[in-house]
Amino acid sequence: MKRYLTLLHNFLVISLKRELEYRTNTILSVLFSFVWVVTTYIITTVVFGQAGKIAGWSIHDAILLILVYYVISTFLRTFIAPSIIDFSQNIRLGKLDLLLTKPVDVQFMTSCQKLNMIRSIRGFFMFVVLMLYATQYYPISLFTACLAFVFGILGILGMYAAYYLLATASFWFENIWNLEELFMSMYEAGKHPFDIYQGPLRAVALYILPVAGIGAIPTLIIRHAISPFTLALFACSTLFLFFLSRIFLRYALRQYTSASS
Amino acid sequence: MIKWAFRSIMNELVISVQHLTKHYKVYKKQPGLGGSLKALFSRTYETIKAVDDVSFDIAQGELIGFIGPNGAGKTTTLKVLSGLLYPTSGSVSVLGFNPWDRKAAFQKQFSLVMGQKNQLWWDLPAIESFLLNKAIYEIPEKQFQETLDKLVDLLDVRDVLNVQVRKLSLGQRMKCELIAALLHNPKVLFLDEPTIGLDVMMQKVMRDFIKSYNKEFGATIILTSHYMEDVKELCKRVVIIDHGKKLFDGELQGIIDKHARNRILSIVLSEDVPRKKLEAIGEIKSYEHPQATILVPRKEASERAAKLLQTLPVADITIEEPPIEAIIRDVFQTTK
Repeated sequence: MKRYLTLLHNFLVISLKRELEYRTNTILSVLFSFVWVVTTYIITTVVFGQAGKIAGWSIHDAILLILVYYVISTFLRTFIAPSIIDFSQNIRLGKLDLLLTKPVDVQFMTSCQKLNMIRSIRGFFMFVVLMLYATQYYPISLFTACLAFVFGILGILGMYAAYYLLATASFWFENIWNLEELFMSMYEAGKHPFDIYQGPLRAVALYILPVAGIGAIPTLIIRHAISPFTLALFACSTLFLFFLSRIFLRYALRQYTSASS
Repeated sequence: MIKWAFRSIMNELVISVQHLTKHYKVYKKQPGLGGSLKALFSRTYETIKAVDDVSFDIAQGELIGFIGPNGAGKTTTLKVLSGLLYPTSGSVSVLGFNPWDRKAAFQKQFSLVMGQKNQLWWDLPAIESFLLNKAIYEIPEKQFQETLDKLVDLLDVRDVLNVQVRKLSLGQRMKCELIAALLHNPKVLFLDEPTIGLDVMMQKVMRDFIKSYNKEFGATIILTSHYMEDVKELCKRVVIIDHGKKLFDGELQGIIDKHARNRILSIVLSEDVPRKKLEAIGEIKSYEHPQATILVPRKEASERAAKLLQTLPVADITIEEPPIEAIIRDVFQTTK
């Protein structure tokens, strides 16, 4: 465990150094992220200003959901998306070869070796805003905050596993282009209250591809509006997805053909 | 496994490959838009025998040359030995491990260098990749510094360690790739065309380095290269492979003895002689007075040379082996 934390620290440092090589990119990236947050906030207040409540969610609930969604989304885009996109492309181009010879868990290497550190700075800033907002409008105990945090992590794990499963399919379907766009548009579903999903779609979006729950579940925990049964089912489904991703990778590696030299 | 372990102790075997086969299924598409549309619904697959029943053993400290034309199966064999590819059949043991188990204990003891692929971080100086490898391979600080210093001095790259990799020349980049691959002092090294694209001077530098690394660290090395100079200078033993099959395994001199049908008589004449008289000795490859090159059957070389000296005004004569490239080309052609 200590070794992997040391490695993660190395990946963090090396990624930050890499990003700092390109100053303009860094400045623009931070700027765009604030524009995105402000735009989303304005749209939400306009929509809720007209409708009052949507599926039982008030404007404060919706803003809380957006903040949770944004923090988790930033985490995914910082720690997971860059490496997984590379993973998919490296399979197609045969660049996975040298990485597979390293004495480190393949899933760890292919999930964490490239990080987008600038996004993590925005994520941290949004996390502080979230904390201030949540404590101002919702009376939460330390236990509730911890539970929301744990389920936020579980949501990330489930989302990561679904993303990784999709990327691993590149071993067979080599041309999975625009993987990030595909995944992130699916992930956009997490920005809305999940009560809008009904019937089988709700079950799929909550437990199979846990996009609907990723932002909503921690939000509902903060609002004290979720049953222990739903939480337990959500936790089981995310853990199952994670183990499935590991088994699937092991199977896929046996089919790896590399690319011609 | 027990059998291998026994042989390993007896012969200090490091690599053992028995009846290795690796087949790929590839689909063949007819040309044109029609072919592409047809391939959407129905595809014709073909099995490519990249490696076909290949066996060989390699002892500790050996430096072996893998020779073969493009698509012969050299790189595929190296990839199986590195644990990247799962074989269709056969058994492979490297340092007593099944490579495709991908055990960390095995991965810490070998390295794969591919001339056409890189592991260095493109946007950062090479030293950053070295430090990352230090963490990945858990190299103790003292050992890391000592090895790095030694390799940097041997390859003369101290002044480029802090320059972004993308700004380095191909030669400098290749040297840094080698350092990154050797920092953990691997016992087994797979070099897949390490000199590809390098100029003649840089090829020589790389060859000298590989030779000294093999000697100093006692590392077992498999080298694939299209440059015969690499193989001639570095490898005592070669394995020739074509269409996935092993054609030859032995000392380089063995190929010459087995496959060179002719020898070359290079002569300098003191007087001009008619071409016909030279044709009586052997096949003329070139003749421009006073120099001539004549091919003679290998077994009759001494006899023909003696006849030449007796019958013609020869000022100087040398008997040479044909170039190794020509002999190997001949091996591939005769086995087609």
